[in-house]
Amino acid sequence: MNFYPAPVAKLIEELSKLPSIGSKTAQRLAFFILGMPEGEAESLAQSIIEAKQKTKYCSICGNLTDVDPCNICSNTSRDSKVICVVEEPRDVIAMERTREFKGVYHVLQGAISPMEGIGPDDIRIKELLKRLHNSKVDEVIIATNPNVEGEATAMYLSKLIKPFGIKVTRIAHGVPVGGDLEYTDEVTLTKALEGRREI
Amino acid sequence: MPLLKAQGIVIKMVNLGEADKIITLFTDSMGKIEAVAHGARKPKSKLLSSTQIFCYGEYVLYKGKSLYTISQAEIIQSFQELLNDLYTLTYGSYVVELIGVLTQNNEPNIELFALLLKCMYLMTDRNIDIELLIRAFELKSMSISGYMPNLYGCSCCKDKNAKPYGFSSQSGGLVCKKCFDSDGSAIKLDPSTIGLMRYILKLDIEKVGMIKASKNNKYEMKKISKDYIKYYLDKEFKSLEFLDDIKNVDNL
Repeated sequence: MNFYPAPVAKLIEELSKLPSIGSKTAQRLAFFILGMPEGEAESLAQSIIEAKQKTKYCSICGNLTDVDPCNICSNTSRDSKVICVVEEPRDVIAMERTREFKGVYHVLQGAISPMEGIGPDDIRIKELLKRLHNSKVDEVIIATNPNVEGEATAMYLSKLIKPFGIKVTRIAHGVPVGGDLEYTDEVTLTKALEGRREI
Repeated sequence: MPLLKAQGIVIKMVNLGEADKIITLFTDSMGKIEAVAHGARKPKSKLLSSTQIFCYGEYVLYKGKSLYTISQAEIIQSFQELLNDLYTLTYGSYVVELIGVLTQNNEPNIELFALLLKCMYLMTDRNIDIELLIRAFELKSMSISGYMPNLYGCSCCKDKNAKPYGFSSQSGGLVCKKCFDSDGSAIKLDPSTIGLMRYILKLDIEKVGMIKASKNNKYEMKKISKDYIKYYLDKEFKSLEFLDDIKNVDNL
């Protein structure tokens, strides 16, 4: 790194801290930034600082937001009696894209993983229980990922929530829209069969 | 590049990059190996479900510089039903975690592989006493890997005719009353627990379902297994801690 002037070396070092960016990519990005007009570089730097300073987690649902409570939690036209539990803030975006769901969210910021040692206390389960305790909720939809961690979280939550007398549902797993049965693997197909519905 | 074929069970999975996974497979012919599954996190990937944890299948791989790469996979048994219950899921996680610690890369151990597979099949049986099954698995897998505890005579003073009184991980097995008193870490055992452990060690794991064990037997076995495994493998299992967590929830 001694070949570079100190400020450039520093920039490369910082860039290479980003995920899946090695030193070679970092060098390329650094030179691109050096070649940018000054205004653009400034606005990039500014937007990083702004995003970091202004976004926080919503005190109710745990989603990323710039205002507290977030737009979804403070929206009175949404049904606060239905809570959809997801693992990450980006899952909220995915659910919102459906435009089907009119309830509110709860972001766990992780999932229980028996193997990684991530227990119920490491994710936002206590906050969810508090929420259920304080407000009237009819249904909790558990939309964690369909893998070991997601299933463990889903089952743990249902064990905890059922005593409240609240309906707990799990999102369906099955054949993707536009998919081909022939190429669907047997595990997914079994799940699809289990979750079949009358038409 | 020659293609290799092996039957294996996925015992660990870590994400790699944007859409890839590195899975740890415990195979019959190649032992524990690490393999990259390219694109296995994309929803349309053919490797999506065959690279989930617990999946038992036939994998076609080729060897790269340091890792294997999976080119095809066919599921034999996905063991996804273990995910339907929090207990089987956690015990399942524990079993594969234990195998991961007990084995070295590229060292085939067909006996251990068969034991793991049998244990996974037995876990899907809802009527089985899963706690006893896990204790049997611990005892047998440790024994196969070369850590068989000594269940006859005294392991400390080596007196073959001594009456066993307790269990000491440090001495590697049962100890007599005299040695028990001088060993602070030894755990006292009921004679019926000692008998049960001897019986399990000789018994095929498939027959564990036929054994009846008292609560105290299971409690004592759990205590010594935990201590013994920690002493010899120098690892505390996270899945076991989680198990205590969920037991507390059930008792609420």
